[in-house]
Amino acid sequence: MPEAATSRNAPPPAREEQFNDLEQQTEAAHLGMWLFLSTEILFFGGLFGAYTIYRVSYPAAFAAASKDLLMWAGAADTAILLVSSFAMAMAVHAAQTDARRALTVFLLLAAGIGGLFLCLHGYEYYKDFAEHHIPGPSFRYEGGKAPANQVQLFFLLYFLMTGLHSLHVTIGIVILTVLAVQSWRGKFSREYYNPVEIAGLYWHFVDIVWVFLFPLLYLIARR
Amino acid sequence: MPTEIVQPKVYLRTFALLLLLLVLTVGANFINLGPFNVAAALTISIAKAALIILFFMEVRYSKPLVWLFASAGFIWLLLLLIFTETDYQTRGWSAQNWRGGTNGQDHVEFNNPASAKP
Repeated sequence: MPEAATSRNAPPPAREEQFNDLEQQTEAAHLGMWLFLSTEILFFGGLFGAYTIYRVSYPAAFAAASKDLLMWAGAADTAILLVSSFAMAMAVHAAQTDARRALTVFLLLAAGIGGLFLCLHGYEYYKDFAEHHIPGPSFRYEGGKAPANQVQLFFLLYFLMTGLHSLHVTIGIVILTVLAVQSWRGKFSREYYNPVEIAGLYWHFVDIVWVFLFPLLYLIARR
Repeated sequence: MPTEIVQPKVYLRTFALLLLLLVLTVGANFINLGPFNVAAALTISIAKAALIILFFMEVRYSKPLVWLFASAGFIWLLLLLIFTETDYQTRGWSAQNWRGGTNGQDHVEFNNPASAKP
């Protein structure tokens, strides 16, 4: 095994020994990630199911509550995540063309823009807090167009769904930052960049979740 | 897993289309389409998700097995939503309620002893 004598900082051998070739290794990694993403779809799916039931049951309350969300912030959230996804796609391309510097920059860019999303969403949470829209004993709703407890149910689902999503964004930022450091140290090459692609799949999935959350939460009532 | 390298212009076009769809979904919210507002919003979301999956996630350039794995989760999600909704929306249709008198607010009364009388 000539690869055995690698030093600590040299790139690891591209192919793990259990795979016949690099193609098989990449395919196995993709299938594994998609399997994980299927469980993620159903993880979020439970919340989407609960949302559907209550939205059909209390359409007026959901429409009234949705009007209290900042629609333009939601639209900006979507745009921010789309830009971040684009940066991630470009990172994969940089890895495929052995552009180490570009890979590091694009990974940091994707992570940084993800951070911007969390900041904006944090501001929305702050507004909700100030307006007593956090479900619980201090919840208040003065709109009067719908029963307060039904409106509270909307906000409960809103915080659960966006909270779970923001948790995923946070995890994604950590992963992308770690990958950026590894890329800077030269861990990835044209032959071996599976972690970049797999992290990309995760990051795009987080984007997809938001693509559905935005119209379902922010755009119920016509403005 | 792509068999060839996807060119940046493909990503750029996908990205531009996604932004266009975002503008469209916000714009549709200002037009009164009645019940079709929800349909329009969901259709646009599905189109956006398809673009992301096919191009950003490179499923378009991947092998059939990846297509299968990628669709499996969504198909299960569809089943979950369909069967849950079928249950919730038809709870008032049990035989003893056929003659009416449930005021349409009946899905929570499924276990209500009052409505269980034959």
